[in-house]
Amino acid sequence: MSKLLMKGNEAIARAAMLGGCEAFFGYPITPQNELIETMSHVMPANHRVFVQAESEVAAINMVYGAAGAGGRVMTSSSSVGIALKQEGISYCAGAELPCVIVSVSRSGPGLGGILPAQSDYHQSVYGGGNGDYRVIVLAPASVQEAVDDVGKAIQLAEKYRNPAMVLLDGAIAQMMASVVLPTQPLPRVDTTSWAATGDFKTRGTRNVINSLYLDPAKLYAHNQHLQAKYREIAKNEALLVDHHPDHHDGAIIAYGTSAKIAIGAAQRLKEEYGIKVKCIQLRTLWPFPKQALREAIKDMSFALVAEMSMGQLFQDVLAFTRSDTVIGYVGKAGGEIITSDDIVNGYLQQMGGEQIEHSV
Amino acid sequence: MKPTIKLICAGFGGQGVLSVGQLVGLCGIELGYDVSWMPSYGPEMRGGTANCHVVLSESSQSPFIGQDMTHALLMNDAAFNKFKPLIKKPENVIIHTGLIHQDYPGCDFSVLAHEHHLDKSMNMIAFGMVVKSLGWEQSLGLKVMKKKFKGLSDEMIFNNEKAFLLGFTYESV
Repeated sequence: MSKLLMKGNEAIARAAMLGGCEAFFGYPITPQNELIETMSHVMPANHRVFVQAESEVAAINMVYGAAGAGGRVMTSSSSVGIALKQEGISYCAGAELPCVIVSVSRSGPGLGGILPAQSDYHQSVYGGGNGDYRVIVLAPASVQEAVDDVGKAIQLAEKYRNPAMVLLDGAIAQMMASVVLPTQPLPRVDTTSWAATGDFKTRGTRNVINSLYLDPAKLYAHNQHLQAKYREIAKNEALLVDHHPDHHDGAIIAYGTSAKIAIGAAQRLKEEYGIKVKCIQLRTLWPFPKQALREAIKDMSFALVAEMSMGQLFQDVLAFTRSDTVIGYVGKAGGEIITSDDIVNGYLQQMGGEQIEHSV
Repeated sequence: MKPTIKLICAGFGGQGVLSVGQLVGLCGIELGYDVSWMPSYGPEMRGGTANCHVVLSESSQSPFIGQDMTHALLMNDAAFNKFKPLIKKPENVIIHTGLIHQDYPGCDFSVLAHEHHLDKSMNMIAFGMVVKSLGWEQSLGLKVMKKKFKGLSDEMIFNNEKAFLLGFTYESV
């Protein structure tokens, strides 16, 4: 398979189309503009649907409609745009509609800036929509991983009838990298039992897409059904990668761009300071790989969380690992990419027990 | 194991530094490297140091941005001041001597391009010098240019190749 040199945004768009995405609904926002731009020509050229909606809210509701009809559907946006989509994402989760949301995060809060950050961890993992719902969140650290994750998101969304998000930051979206794109569309899951396709006459029963349950007992039953599904996803799909299985002195825990930088930092800690630290890259943020992470750091006295946000991941690591391991934090948010110096210095400074200020 | 190459190309927007970086990336793919090309975008582009970091590595795990850069093509003063300190070996820095008055390898790309009626292909002179300084074959540069510029006019392709060869054979003092 030949390698291409391609921008993250373009590669994600092409991977989605090649993976069999049938309809894309989006609205422009930096730094994901090339994604929607690429979709605007590759989708029509391959007899698929492309709509530049009038707003993010419109786009996610078009996703709801097309997914409800059994289509393989995607939308993409960035931070503030994803914030606008939250109500629609909750509706998709409530009605159990498979769809893919690509979130290319920039820096916040508010309008923030257009440079990369990972401050949308809470937004992605916990969501801003109402109700007890969950979104599968995959976190690629390179263009190739982003391409692979788009395919994986399509499959997980369809397998579990649930929205799946690919969360990356502006750095991965804007960079070009050598990448191999998929060659075959992904296999389809049968949707005839639930998709509203208008063939009532031949089927004899009506498929209804809905998230409204006015009867509290029915809504409670629906929530219990959703929770059972989420437990199943958590059991099957949580994933992390241990980049240094033979390093046991300590760990750096990160995802996305920060993980990529952390791999280099772990290498430097070994070469320059003789400390064998492993880089643990979280590949899914929801489900969070709690068990595997607990296992990976259980005999360590110290582990450092590195993130381009103000302690959002740190707090989850603290809550989920519940071990004697001291958890440190290094991070920045605002558009600057975390450096290997930041991580190496943070590690050396805190491994001795020095406490630093982090988010509250 | 091939050595990892980390190149910064920086200058004004319009000087063509991002394209030079992409061509170096394409050379990397031909040579079997894992490649990343990371551009500046947003406010930095408007401040005079449009730049890209190109990393060619045998491992796909190499960070795509870092402080241990090995090579640089610097096309204006702001870029020189910002990125020169990141490069350990001065001989690995190529500068635009028309805009940077420092004692480093390079040439006055504007003047050289103008003398040869290649004003629009100025960055290809720089690409030629970069390929030469990385110890790569002339044919490699020409090969990736052919791929990258498919669809351009014959005249533009001819001029780009001419400029590339001018840079590749240029003796920097």
